[in-house]
Amino acid sequence: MAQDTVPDHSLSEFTLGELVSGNEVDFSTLQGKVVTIEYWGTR
Amino acid sequence: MPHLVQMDKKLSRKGLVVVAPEVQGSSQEDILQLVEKNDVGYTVTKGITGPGLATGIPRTAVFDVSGKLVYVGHPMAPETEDAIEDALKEATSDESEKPGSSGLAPRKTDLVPSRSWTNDEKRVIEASLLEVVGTVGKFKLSNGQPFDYDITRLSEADQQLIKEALAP
Repeated sequence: MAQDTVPDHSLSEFTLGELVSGNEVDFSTLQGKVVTIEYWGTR
Repeated sequence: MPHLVQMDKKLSRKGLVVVAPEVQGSSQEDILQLVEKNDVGYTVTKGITGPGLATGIPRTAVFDVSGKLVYVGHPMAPETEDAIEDALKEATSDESEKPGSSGLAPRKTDLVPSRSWTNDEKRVIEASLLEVVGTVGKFKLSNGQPFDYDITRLSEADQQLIKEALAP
């Protein structure tokens, strides 16, 4: 199944690590936006 | 990654914000190599802290406009795009706003029009500055995405420019 079980969490519980590329993002300023977090790796 | 790059380009103006933390502890050089190879325009970071959602990678988590987690799944799965499209029905779309507007409500006149800003780590970002509250600058990217940034972390020249813009 492609979709995992969805636990009860909100965006405010997450903090991004050091910025490598792109725009600085502050989750607290994204009201009204849909946010996707893609977990990925280089290997 | 290419799939998400396309989705970002297609849906960012409809209110989608994509962030991609690299979670294998790879070097900045290795991360940047893939970012450049795939022409990634969205935000890429070294890791993320918070609840563990990724049972394997890659994994995409979707948060609706209220910040609630509504989906976790493989980025290539059709359900992922469906979940994003569903969530976007409630999103603040930049397409309905006037060109150059920020997505912030109410719309503000730019304190400093769009330009390149440099921080104390020599990173450069293109954005306009809407206002300053204390030491926090409220910026807007060219795609309309707003963000806050501590202006004391900007270069001396940028801080001076802001000081002049704030002067009566």
